[in-house]
Amino acid sequence: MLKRLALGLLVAWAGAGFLREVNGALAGWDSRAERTELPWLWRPGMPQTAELERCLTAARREIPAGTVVAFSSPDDPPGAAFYRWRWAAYLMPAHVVVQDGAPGVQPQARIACGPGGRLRRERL
Amino acid sequence: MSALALLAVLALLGSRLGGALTIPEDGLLHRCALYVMGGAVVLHLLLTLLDFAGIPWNPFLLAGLAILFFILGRRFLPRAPERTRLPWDPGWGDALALAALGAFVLIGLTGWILFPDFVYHWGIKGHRFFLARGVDYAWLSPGWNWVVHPEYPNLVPELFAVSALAAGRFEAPAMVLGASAFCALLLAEVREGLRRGGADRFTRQAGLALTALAVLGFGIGHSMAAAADWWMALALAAAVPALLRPADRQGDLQIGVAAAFAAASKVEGVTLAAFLALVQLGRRAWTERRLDPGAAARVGLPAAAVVLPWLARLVRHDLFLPLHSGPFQPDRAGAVFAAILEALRTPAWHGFGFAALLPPLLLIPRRTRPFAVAATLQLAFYVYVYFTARVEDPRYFVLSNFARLILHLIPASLAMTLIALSQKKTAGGENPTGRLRDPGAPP
Repeated sequence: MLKRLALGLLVAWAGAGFLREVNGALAGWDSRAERTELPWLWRPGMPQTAELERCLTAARREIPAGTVVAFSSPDDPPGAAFYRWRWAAYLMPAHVVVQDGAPGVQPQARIACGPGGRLRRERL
Repeated sequence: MSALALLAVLALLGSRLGGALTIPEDGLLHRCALYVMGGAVVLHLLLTLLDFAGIPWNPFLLAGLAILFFILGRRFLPRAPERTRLPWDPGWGDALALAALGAFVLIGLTGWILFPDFVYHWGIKGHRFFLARGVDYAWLSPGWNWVVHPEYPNLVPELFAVSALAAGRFEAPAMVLGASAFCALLLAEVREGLRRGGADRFTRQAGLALTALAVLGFGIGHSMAAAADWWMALALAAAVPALLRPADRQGDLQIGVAAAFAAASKVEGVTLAAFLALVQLGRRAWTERRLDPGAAARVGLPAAAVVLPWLARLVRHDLFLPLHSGPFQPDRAGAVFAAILEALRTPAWHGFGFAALLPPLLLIPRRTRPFAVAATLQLAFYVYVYFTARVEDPRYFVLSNFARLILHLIPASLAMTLIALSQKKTAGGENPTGRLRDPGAPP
């Protein structure tokens, strides 16, 4: 009986924890439009990733697949440029997206994303 | 739908191995999980073969090869034995587990809890392989691309790529859905483990609900949709039924398939594969006082077939990352163990992270010892890496992954603990062959 009670309490505890996580996720999803997270906390659906996606949609259209593209972004705060680069690579899978200034790489195009998801492109 | 269709194809492919892989006591859910894992290993070997031959992955070619394997398997491989029919017996624990899984999948489909590493490497690798119609070594090997972990085994991105090939396009929600099927199989294996361990009905239902709520709650809170770590947890949980009974031929192959699946999924799966194989062969050598070469082949060959080509590719394309290896630094102990404690208390685990410490305790009951040896060694391996990895800040390194790595151990460990705690009641339930009678089985 004691074992059943203990197990039942553990299930109840796990259930409460589960509901807390569900609630947290749904609240986060509902408020996604207002979220201004740093790049290492970006998730799909946030304004930042949506803006980057808008910018890179234009880049995907203009730059042929397979091109080596250097993606530059301000490293502010430190480390942010790295994570923006990873998102850019994820959103441009048909291109070879390298971090601007990566040693030993000869990019064929250089891009950056300005405010409002505006693409800035430089042919090299 | 293509992701789920791929799962069905994998199960069909794996079912051809059923004759050698299953015993009548293996329930439907366990068989499904074993077949999907077996089918995934077969597909992985097939794709590796095509890569070695320089043949691009074509959906029609893959479908043709799958049909050929299925027909040949039907013609030449033994059929799976009829399974002992058990009452379906669904309960409240099943309902809670299904509800938790449903919530996890639905939230996962929004993308909000997408695993960050899906963006950084698993997903982009899958997408690249889909576009390149093969493992894109030219893209993986340059030094600047270390961030995609080019040295990792490729089963997970391969499944993403093949699923995209079947659909004609790569879409993250489809990958989340496909990956969630492996969470479902994990829960199925926990249910099967509890049943095969002889736990009473309440413990079976409560154990399944507890595991589902704890791990899926963590999955939601820690953004684990489409994470490869579910594959690892599945591999260990799938080994439980075989590790609970005395070693036999089918158990050898079940361990072999689970080991191969783990080794093909993640780099730490290679060590899990080695530990599982070591335990199974050790049990055989201990009881039989000799090492049966047939058993060694059944246990070791599937994983060897996965690991050797992977190693060959690593060497050929120079994919090893030097940052992983370094001297053992005992002076890190304070920082490492403090960070481990911090990671165990990760809020999304709600205290269940400490279940990762159960494997050493499970060394005490004789019945759970084989599992405990493999799980404890794997846990020790994770800790060992923190002492040897070339990182500037060991605390940050531990916190960046330990809470996630213990997901590999927790579902099976929870099930095994409940089995150990129910052992007293079921001790008289063992038949002369050492296989447990199912509590729900007809007399």
